[in-house]
Amino acid sequence: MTTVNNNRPNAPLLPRQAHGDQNTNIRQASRQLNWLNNPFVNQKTGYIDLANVIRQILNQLGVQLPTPSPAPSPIKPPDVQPVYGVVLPPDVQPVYGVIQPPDIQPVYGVVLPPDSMAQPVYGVIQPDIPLVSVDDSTPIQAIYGAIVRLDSNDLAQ
Amino acid sequence: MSQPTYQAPAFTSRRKSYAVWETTLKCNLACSHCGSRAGDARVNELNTAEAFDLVKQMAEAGITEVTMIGGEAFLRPDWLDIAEAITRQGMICSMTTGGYGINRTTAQRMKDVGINQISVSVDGMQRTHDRLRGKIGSWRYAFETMEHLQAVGIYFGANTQVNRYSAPEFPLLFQALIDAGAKAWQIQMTVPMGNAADNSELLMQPYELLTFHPLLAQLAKRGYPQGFYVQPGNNYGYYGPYDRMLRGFGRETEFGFWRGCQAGLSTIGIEADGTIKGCPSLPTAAYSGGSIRDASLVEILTERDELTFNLKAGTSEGTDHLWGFCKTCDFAALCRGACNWTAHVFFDRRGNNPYCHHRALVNATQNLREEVIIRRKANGLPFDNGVFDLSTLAFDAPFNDDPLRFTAEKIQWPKQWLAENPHLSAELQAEVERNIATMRTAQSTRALTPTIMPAM
Repeated sequence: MTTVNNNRPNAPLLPRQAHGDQNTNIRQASRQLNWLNNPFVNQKTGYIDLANVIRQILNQLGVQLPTPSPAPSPIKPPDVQPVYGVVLPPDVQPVYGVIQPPDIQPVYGVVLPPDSMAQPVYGVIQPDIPLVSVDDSTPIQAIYGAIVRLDSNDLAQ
Repeated sequence: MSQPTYQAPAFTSRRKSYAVWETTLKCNLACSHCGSRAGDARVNELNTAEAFDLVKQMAEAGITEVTMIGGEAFLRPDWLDIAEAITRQGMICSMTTGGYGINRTTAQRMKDVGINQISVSVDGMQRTHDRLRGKIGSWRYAFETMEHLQAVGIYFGANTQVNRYSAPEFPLLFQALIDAGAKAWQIQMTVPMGNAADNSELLMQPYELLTFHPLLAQLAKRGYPQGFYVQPGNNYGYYGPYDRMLRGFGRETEFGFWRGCQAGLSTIGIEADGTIKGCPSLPTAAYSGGSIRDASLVEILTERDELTFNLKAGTSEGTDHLWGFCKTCDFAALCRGACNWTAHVFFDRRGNNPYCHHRALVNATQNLREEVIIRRKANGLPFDNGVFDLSTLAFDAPFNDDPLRFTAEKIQWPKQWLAENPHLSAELQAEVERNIATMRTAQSTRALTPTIMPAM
C-alpha cells in the first residue's frame, strides 16, 4: 500500500519526512536530554552543578598544565646569638697585594651590659613613715572593712 | 575514463539521502563478525546493464550519495564503471573496503572515476584485526591502502566495529589512524547477524556500554580539534550524556541528537542481486521490499511496507512495535527503538534495543544490569540472525569467569598519553560512576517533583 509522506509537492522522493509531526517529539526529547544530563538545571541548586563543572575544569587543567618544579627549601639561618656591645671596625688600609684579614673575630655568645646600667629591683619597698593604727610588723596587708573616723576622746585614751 | 566534474563535500557534511550498495558479495577476507557472510559472489548478481539502470533510478528517486560496499566491491570487474556512472549522475560516490589489495595504480584509478571518499575497515590493532578478519597481513594491507589513498589525494577514513576484542584497543587504533592520515572514523557496534551470530562471545554486553561510551567520547573530543572526526554509526547511542557531542563528530556545542531510524526515509540498502531494503544492514528475510528486477525503485519505495514502516514516525502507530524497556522509555516517541537492525538480530523482532547508553544508565540507577545470552543459533544464510535471551541481574552481582569482559583497566593507551597522565583508566572509571550518579540525581529529582519534566 502507498504511505504518504510530508515532502513538498514535486520534491524528490528521497529524503522524505515521516507522515507524523516529529517537531513536538524533538522539542520534548531535547528538553529531556538537557535535564537528564544536568538535573540541577531547574532547581535553585543549579550552582552546585556549576561548581562541579568548574572543579572538573580546574582538575583537567591541573592534569594538562606542566607541573612547576618544587619550591627550594628555605636556607637555614646561622646559629648565632644577638650581640650587644661595640664592634670595632677593622683598621682598614688600602691594600696592594694580598689582603690580610682583620684581627677582629666575630663574637658569639651573650655580651653582658656594663656595670653602670641600672639593675632591675625585686622586693618590697618599705614605707618611711608608718601609718597610725596600722600594724606594720608585716608587709602590706589587704584591708577589709570600713575605716572609722576616731573622736578626739578616743585618741586621748 | 573521463574526469568527473562533480566536487563532493568533505567528510563533515551531512548526508541527505543515501544508498549503500553491496555491488558483490564476493570477498577476499573471512571476517568472524561479517553480517552478510561474504565470501563467494551471489549466483544472480546484477549485470552491468542492470547496475547502470539502477544508478539512473537512484538519481531520479533523489539519492545524493551512493556508497559501494561488498563483500569487497573492487572484486567485481565493472566496479569502476559503476562508480563512474554514479558520479556522472551527479551523485557522490564513496566506498567501503577491507583494503586488502588496493595498490597505488588502483587508488589513482579510483580517484579518476570520481570516488572521493573511502572508508577502510579496521577492527583493532594488528593481531586483533588479523584474527577478526581471518587473514594474517590484512591489517598491514589496510594501512598500506591508506598510504596509497593519501598519495593520490582521496579523502579517507576508517570504520571499526566495537566488540570485546577491539574495544580495549580503541585508543591505540585512534592514534594509529591519525598517524596514517585518516580524517574520519565511523564506529558501529558488532551485532549478532551472520557470522557474528555464530561467534557471540565477541559481542559487548549491554552494561559494558557504561564504560565504552565515555571512552569513545573522550576520543571524539580529542580528535575533533585535530580534524579527525569520530562518527557514531546508526547502531551506536542513544541519548546518553555524549549523544549530542558524538552526533557532532566531537563538537561539544552540537545541538543534534538521535532522531530515530531513517531506513526508507533517507537511506536505502541494495543487495548484489537487486534486493532493496530500507537499510543495508537489515535482515533480508524480514525487511526485503523486493527486487529491482521485479519493480521500479520508486514503486518499491512507495508501495512496500518494508520500505515505508518508518513513515509512521510521529503518529500513534509509530511506536506500536515497541516492547520491553524501549516501550517505557522517555524518548520512545522520537527514538522508536533506535536501530531496528540491532533490535531485530538480538530478539528476532524490532522494538527493544539492548545496545543503548541511556538504558544502561537507567538500569544502573535501579541497581540492574542486562546481559544477552544466545538461545537459538542462526541458520547460516547471509544477513540472518539467531535469538538471544535478555537476562537482568543485580548491578553488583558477581561476574562469571569471563576473560573477555570489557573494563576500564583493560584499555590500552598510547604511551605518550600515559606519560602525560598515568591515571587515564582510573579517571575514565570515575567518569562512569559520575554518569550513573548524575542519572540517579535526575531520576530522584523527577520522583520528588514530577512536574519538572513531564513524561513524553
